[in-house]
Amino acid sequence: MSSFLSSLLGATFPLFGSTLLLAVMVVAGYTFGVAVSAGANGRARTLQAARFGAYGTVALIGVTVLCLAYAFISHDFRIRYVAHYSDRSMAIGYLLTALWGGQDGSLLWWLFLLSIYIGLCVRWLGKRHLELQPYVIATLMAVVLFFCVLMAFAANPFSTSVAGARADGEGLNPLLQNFYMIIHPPSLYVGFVGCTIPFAFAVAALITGRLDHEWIVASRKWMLFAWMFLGIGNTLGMLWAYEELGWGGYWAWDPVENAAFMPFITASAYIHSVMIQERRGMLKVWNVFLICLTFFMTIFGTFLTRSGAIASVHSFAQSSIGTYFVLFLVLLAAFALTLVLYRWPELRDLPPTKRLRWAAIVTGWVVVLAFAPGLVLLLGKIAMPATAKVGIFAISTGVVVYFGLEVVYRWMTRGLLLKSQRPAFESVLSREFTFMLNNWGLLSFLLFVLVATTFPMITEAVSGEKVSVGPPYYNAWVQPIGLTIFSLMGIGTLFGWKKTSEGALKRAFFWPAVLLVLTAATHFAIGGRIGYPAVVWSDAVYAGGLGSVLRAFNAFTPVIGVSMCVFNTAIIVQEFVMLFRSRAKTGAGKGTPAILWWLGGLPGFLFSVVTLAPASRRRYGGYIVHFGIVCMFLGFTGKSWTIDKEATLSQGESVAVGDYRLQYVGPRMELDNTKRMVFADMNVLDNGGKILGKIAPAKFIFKRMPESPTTEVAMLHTLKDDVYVVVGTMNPQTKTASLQFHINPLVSLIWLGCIILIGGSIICMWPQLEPSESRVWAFARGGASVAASVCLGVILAMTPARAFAQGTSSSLHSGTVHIEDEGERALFGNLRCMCGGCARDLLSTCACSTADDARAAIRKKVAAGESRDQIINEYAAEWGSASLAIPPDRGAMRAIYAVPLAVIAAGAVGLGVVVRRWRRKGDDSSPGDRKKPAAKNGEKSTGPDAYDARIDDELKDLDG
Amino acid sequence: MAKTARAARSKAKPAAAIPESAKPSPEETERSLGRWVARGLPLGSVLVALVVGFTTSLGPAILVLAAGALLGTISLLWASVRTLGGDAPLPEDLEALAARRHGVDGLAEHKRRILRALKDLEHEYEVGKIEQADYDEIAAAYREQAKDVMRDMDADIEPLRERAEEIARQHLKKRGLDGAPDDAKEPEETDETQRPSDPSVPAAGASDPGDASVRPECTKCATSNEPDAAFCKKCGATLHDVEATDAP
Repeated sequence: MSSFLSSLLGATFPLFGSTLLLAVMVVAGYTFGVAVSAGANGRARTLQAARFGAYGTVALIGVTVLCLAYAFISHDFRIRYVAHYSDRSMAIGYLLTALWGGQDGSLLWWLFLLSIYIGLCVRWLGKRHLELQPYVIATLMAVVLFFCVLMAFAANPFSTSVAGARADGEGLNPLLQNFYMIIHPPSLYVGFVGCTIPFAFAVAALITGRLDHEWIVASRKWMLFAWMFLGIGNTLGMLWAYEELGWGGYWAWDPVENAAFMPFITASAYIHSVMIQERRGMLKVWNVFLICLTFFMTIFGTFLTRSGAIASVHSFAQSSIGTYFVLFLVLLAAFALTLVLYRWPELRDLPPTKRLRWAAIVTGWVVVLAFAPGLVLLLGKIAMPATAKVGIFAISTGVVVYFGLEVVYRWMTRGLLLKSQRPAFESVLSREFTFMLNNWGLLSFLLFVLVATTFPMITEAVSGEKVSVGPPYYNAWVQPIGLTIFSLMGIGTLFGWKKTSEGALKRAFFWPAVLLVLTAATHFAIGGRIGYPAVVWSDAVYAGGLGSVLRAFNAFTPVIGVSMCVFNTAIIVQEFVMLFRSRAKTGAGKGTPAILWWLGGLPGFLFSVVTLAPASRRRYGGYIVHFGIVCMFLGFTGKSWTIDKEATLSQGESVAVGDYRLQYVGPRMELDNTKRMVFADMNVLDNGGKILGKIAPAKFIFKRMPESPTTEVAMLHTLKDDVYVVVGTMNPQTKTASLQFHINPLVSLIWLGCIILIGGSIICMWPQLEPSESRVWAFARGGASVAASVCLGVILAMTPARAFAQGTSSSLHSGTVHIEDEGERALFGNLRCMCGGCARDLLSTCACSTADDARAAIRKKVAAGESRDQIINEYAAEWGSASLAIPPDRGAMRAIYAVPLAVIAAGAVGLGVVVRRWRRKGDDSSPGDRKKPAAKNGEKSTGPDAYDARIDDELKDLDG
Repeated sequence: MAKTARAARSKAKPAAAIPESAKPSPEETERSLGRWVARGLPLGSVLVALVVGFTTSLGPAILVLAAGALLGTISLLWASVRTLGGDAPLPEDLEALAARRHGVDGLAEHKRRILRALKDLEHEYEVGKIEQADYDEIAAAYREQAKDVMRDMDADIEPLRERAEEIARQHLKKRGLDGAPDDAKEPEETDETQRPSDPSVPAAGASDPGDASVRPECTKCATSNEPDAAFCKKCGATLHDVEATDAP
């Protein structure tokens, strides 16, 4: 059969594959056209044709993926991609996962996931949102078209190698075959790709001008789903780094990690701010902006990973697709901007006149183009100090932007009535306001991460100087920002919609605040004695005042973090207590079968929350998500109390690390088909000498690459802390082993928190039940559909996929670093290995020989009594400022924190101004409002009018 | 490939052919054909792929799946082109739904938001985030707004309602059933006319069953229910014993 097949398929199979890609392009193009015309003529017939076309595109993408799968199965080494990522010895499972292993294939995999989303979305749309549908389909098709163009012209997985078919392929790097590597990129993809659907809804709403509550409801669910998978993907990424990389941590602020994290931040901001639009019709522009930004960030993240623009341990090999991505991003931004400007009147509730539209578009573009001359100056080859360039850029841009806003807009809209009929805030003490604070905090965080991530690119373009931004920089700055957002999360929960009475607020604050103070006091009192000191000092990242301030704040992070966690937990518990108390009062709590409460409380609790009215259910599901985040935060705080230790032990010896004693039992060797495994068996004892567990860190020596053995971490997990052991070297003669020990407190809470977060998101996504359905059936249906959608997502995520990086990053696994003491670790943590091979590893983690030499040289200097700053300066002088993990604190380099801080401050001022304006509007209208109730009270004596009955009726019908 | 494609087709075709003889209307035939292809094709190709996979190896099975998907693509595109050309029938209710599409109703949107605000306030009040005085003040202001909006909405649809009532009256007169309560359904086309309980609007005879007066009150929880309700919408208690036994 297979010989028949191969003769049938003949020499043209690779060509067939490429043709299929082109065919997808054609079909997507056709569907795009039909969808747009359906939008224009509004006919059901055209829309139905577009729907069929969308399904057809989905099926055709399926054909393409299947063909590539067939090429892998049949070892068609004429195809370069197949030859590059597989060989004849690979098992079928691995062959299939190689489908999306490399650059070209992973783009196809992306397209495939997108096509599944499209299929589900078009099916879900069914007969709903008929007005939005055509444009939703058209937008999705445009994205498909982009990926098709990308693959057909720049990264074709079906392209053949010039040299013809090889006898055997290169196969996979065995170092990269592990479970977490398999699951975390696809689950991120599910999240990334999922952000396309809300974007499509936003575009459809903008094009049709139907900016009411309809598209918000439609897009919210999809966004929540994507958000959940972004969360899962990021956590799995942390888990992967933690379990596999062997440096004892889980997050290294790598550009690719940041790229995955940024859409998560914007999606979180959207999920919150959309609630204000739902209730008040405010922030329409903001929400559209957030959705577009989230989608933009997903594409930008892919660009960062794929183009090799920023060196990272994750990145794929450099290729030409960067240009396509940049073009797409520019097009996307321009399109979204124009669309938003076109709909400006509707979004701002202004009279939608043609002149106003034009004014908005012209002003918007003038503002955008205002950056052009400055950018030319910045990026051009003009001999000028970077500081002067930045200064001129800032001033010229500022002037033009001001001109654009003031003169052009004023002039173009003169004579128009621009007073919009918008609602006002009742009170600053309201959830609306805290949500805006939340958005401000999240976006500040985003800005910080974004600037730091792209800073190396920017400085290289502006001043030609290479810098790198490493974990120490992020660790220093992120703690204050993160804690601010974290505390806002709790405080915001205390406020109710519209207005919170001061008395109620005081009551609500009382217990959490008491607990906060008590926790902090207790922590100061006994924290140090039980190994969790309240204050932990570390080295300053900068010399001088700024460095000391940051250092002082970060020293108090443990106590602030822990007490904020208690504060937040208390708030969440209090919210639920309030909920259940009010349910008990109104008798609504009787709906929960008593047996569920007897089963230990949790089932009863979950049942009660799930059966809440939809709006409340989302609210309390959100609190559960918050609780998951509290758990994760406590886990992050645990990082402060990490204990690192190194020791060389001979057989039978033991060493005390923290509260544990670790005993080296001896080496053990095992063999299998592909590798030799050398284990170092260890006993973990407590201080009393009781054995708590046995662990066996190992070195795996693969036959394919004996020169670089992989390091296998061994861990003993408890909720309190993880004992994390890595074996450095093992001497076969003396049977001694050099080992690194990390005691990582509270890390398990991060993973636990993620599970709670998933649970909370599922409660939020629980489908709305039709009142006409019988209760049990509705419940079963709801449960089944949520379970099905989550399972589908998890299966997609868990499909053993490997987005393994190419070449150099394998060194990541292949060794361990010997570090003698904490001072040395801190010093090495500030310096980057400059071998050029490893992407951006620090001397404290890089295991290559260049790094070894550099470390030896530095140790000598330390022994000679040189100070830390001296050594760092000498290293920088030798290797350039790119060798520092933190950009030097001088001149234009200060922009890395100055610009975000300035924008954050401006954001705060802007927020203040906006809120004041809304408040003022509230005061303007309130005299009327205040009179009205009085008048109404007067009426009341004659009895409530019939409208009251109608309102009561409709309120009852409105979902809670 | 061609062979496997044929295999998949042969799997799908007979299944599709069955209803052809059963249903006389060509539109109905095509619809059911579409339904059968939609179900039969994926199922058929998966089955054939499974058979091929177990008898030979994974490679050909994947090709069978690919062929099935390709056939699916072709039929979907064919359906798309035919639909576009006006040859293929549309799903029954799509056209009707499309005809009923409406623009964004600013007032309705506003009203929905106000009701949402009132509902939120109610919830905040219940869980104790807002005190009685504040609640009363803000809720009263929102109620007032809601009434304004509802008055506007009623004023907007007033001419429409009069027309609808006129049509209904004529219709009833034509059928000689003037005043029969059963036909009161007629003017309900425009959404909001269902409950014209505003006393300022004169109740219009036959078309208005005068709902406010007949709204049954639940004996258990004193909730006011719709006139035709058999059960209380809040607590579920039976409202009219006789009707309740008839209810399916």
